Amino acid sequence: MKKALILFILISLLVLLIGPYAPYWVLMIGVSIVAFLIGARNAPSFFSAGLSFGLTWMGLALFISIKTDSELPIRMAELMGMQNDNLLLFGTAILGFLIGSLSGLTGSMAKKLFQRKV
Amino acid sequence: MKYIGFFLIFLITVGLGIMLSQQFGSVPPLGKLLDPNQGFWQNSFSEDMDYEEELDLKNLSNKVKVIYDENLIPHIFADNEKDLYRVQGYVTAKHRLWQMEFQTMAAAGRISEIVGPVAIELDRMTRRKGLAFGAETSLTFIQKEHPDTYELLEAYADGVNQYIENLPHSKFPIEYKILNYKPEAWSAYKSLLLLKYMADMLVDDRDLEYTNLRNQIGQALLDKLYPDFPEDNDPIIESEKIWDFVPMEANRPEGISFPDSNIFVNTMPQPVEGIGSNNWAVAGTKTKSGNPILANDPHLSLNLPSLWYVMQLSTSSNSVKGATLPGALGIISGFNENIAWGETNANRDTRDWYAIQFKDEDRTEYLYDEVWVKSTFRIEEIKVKGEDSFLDTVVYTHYGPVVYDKNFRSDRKDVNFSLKWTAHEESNEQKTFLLLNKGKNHDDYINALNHYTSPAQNFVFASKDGDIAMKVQGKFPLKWEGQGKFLMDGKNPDFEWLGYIPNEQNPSTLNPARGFVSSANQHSVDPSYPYYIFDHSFEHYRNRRLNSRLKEMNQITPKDMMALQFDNFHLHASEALPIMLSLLDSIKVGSMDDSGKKFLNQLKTWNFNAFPNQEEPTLFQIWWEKLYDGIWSKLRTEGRPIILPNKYQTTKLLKEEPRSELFDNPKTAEIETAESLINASFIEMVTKMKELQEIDKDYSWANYKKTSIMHLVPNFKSFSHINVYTGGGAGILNATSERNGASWRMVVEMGDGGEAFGIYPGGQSGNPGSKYYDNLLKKWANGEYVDVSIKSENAFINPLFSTLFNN
Repeated sequence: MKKALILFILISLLVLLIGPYAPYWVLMIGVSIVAFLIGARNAPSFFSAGLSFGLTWMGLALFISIKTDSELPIRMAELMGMQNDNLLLFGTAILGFLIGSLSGLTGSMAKKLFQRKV
Repeated sequence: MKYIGFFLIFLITVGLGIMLSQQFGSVPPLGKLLDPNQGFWQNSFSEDMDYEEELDLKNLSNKVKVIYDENLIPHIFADNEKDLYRVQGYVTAKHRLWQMEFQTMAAAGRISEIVGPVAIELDRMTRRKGLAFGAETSLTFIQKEHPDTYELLEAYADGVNQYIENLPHSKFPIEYKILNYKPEAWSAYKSLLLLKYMADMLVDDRDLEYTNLRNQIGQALLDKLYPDFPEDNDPIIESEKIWDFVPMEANRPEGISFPDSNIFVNTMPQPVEGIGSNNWAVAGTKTKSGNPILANDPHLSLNLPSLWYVMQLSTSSNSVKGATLPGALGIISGFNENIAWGETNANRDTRDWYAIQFKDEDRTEYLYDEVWVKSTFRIEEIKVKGEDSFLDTVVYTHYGPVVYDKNFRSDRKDVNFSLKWTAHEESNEQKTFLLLNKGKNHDDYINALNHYTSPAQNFVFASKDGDIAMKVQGKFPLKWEGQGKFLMDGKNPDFEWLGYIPNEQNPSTLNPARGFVSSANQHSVDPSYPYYIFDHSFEHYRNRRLNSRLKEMNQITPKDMMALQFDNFHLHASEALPIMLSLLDSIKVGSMDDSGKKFLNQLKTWNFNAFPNQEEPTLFQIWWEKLYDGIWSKLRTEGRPIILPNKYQTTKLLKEEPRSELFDNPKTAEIETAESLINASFIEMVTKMKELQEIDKDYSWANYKKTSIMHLVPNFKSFSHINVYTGGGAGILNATSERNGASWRMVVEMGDGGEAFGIYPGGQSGNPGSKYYDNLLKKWANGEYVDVSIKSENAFINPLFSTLFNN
């Protein structure tokens, strides 16, 4: 549980600090490395990394949206055939969850390859 | 087991990562797009939330300050011209990068690179028209003959490129993110391409259509329905003007005749009716303040990001302000402390077609003056997104590119039509604007215009000294009567243009007695002008309305000029409707249902204005369209392009010869007359109105014409404004139709204390996420303006923000 929490915090920091300078796939590699190093079990790695990534993305999107009060999310939602711009926010979160969780799982599973069975 | 599990998850993860970075059909790469750090969310910031107070720009000789006013209009204060244009490039790119690049890609026939195979046909047409060829020719010419212009073009390009070099992906304009491509380097060549883009937008010809028409209806009827001059000619240069020069000779060669076979090619899309503009200047004798006032409103396709971008450009010796075209240097329609100027399109047939006879299918030699002449080939490689390149071979004769041939828009092997166009020739239009920007008087204005070739414009002028002037400027071929109206024989040297009309003999006027100069795309001159002038698309309504108003107005203020730009009087309706009503059979209408009677009453009491809330303009418009169609649609033949008589000649025919056999459709048993067609079309109009009312209760003018400001990518509907509530229409001074209208309105009062006002439908920002993307739209629709007077560096009480460019 402790490992999952650390993973959550580290991935959130990764997204916030490295994200502005790197595309999402670099973050995916980063998440895998972090998950590898922390070495939590598969399920906690999956959910912790996924939730952290997804919630951080959603938080960021929400923050930008509130701060700028821009019409862009509405325009983008319409452009992508969605009725409601909230869907775009959830879409961002779900995509973040997928990216984070699978990368986290990859990292933790890789770790298992190097661990001897006790 | 754990290896297999890992491997599986690893593959899924990598697969997801790759999939999210790819574009599938029209679905953009979702991972890149939704990433809040890099994707579209980052484009939510308006410019005033995210700016640099200072930044370093290489190659500056001195510091340059840029101050933005409350509408995000940048005021650049530089020491010299090179610094000024370098920063103009940088600042323009900052707000309009995607648009300026997209427009030049369009001019170069490179849209397929961005959107894929759907644009191949468009790109082929653009390339076959030779726009890039023209820009290349001009570039070589400018490098060699005008190094001063070239140096400034390079400085501008450097400014744009320094912006692009330091642009992180997160700050890419949103269109790049959605369409998944990257900005490329800017160059002097691209600035020239942009000017060709304007030429393409504004120049029109109907030579092939006229050729078919002449074969179909004969020369006599052609002359009657399509006269070179209309009866109510109200030309740009006042009719009283005396032409005090000895004209060059241009005699029609004896015994010459045009090729007369019918043409079955799918001709190119032409600028639609309604593209055109107004400009005028009134002398101090007619204004309240005693200073001249100048007004300009170019009507172009209504798009977002806006075609225009307003700037003030100041050096230590000059300050100029007005509308720029992103990608071109300086101000295009604007004013400095001494002079003001503006443009409207000067319609003139500067594009001609020659039928070429090649020796054989290789097309390496063609017949000219009884000898075989070698042609050249230009291989156009059209890169296509997601597919292999498309190669198109375009044959060039000494006239220009062979646009239509067996490979393009024609099924017949013997069709080879070569295009000759002034836009293909060496020119330096950019210099005209560079010189106008720092012009001080009428002489400077004339000197600046001498560099201007294409697209020909009517340049209006006013100065602090009190002068007002108008000049129709372009490089105009010297033609004999009728030359170039139809497809010409490329074998026969007698069809060659005879030369060019000297600039000083182009129509112009300075301080005419009537106290004003004006243009609205009508005939440049009256028939006394000693050269043959022809164009298909001269205006017949806005010009007469404008001149009649300017004649009767006195004690004019800038406010009056704004009202005139927003004038909604429908002159065509005021001339056509009384005729239509007089020929309407009242007994038949009396037997109609209530709605028919109601519509008739509305039309009878109409004041001929086209305000957005009025219903009568809709009724008239539909009735007119049905009537027009009833009269002329019989001339159309599938696959053989022609052009129908304009509404001015049609109205004249209705009025003067209602019993003319021209109204009869020989394919029907009965004999149609103006009267029968007017009655039939009224009934059709009533039916159509009932349909409209069922779908959409509101048939007010604004709701019917649905003025729309569309994003340059037509699919991006949510970046557009559809159905803007505003009045006007084609042929009305406020020429706001569905897709065209005043893309920029400017009113400038010269002299000390003179003020300037401007507005356009959009905003300074090219970013759909910014509040400055469309903040001026509502004001534009309501006929309001913002103050665009020249400001000094320390006059800003409350600037939005400012940026200091360090050298």
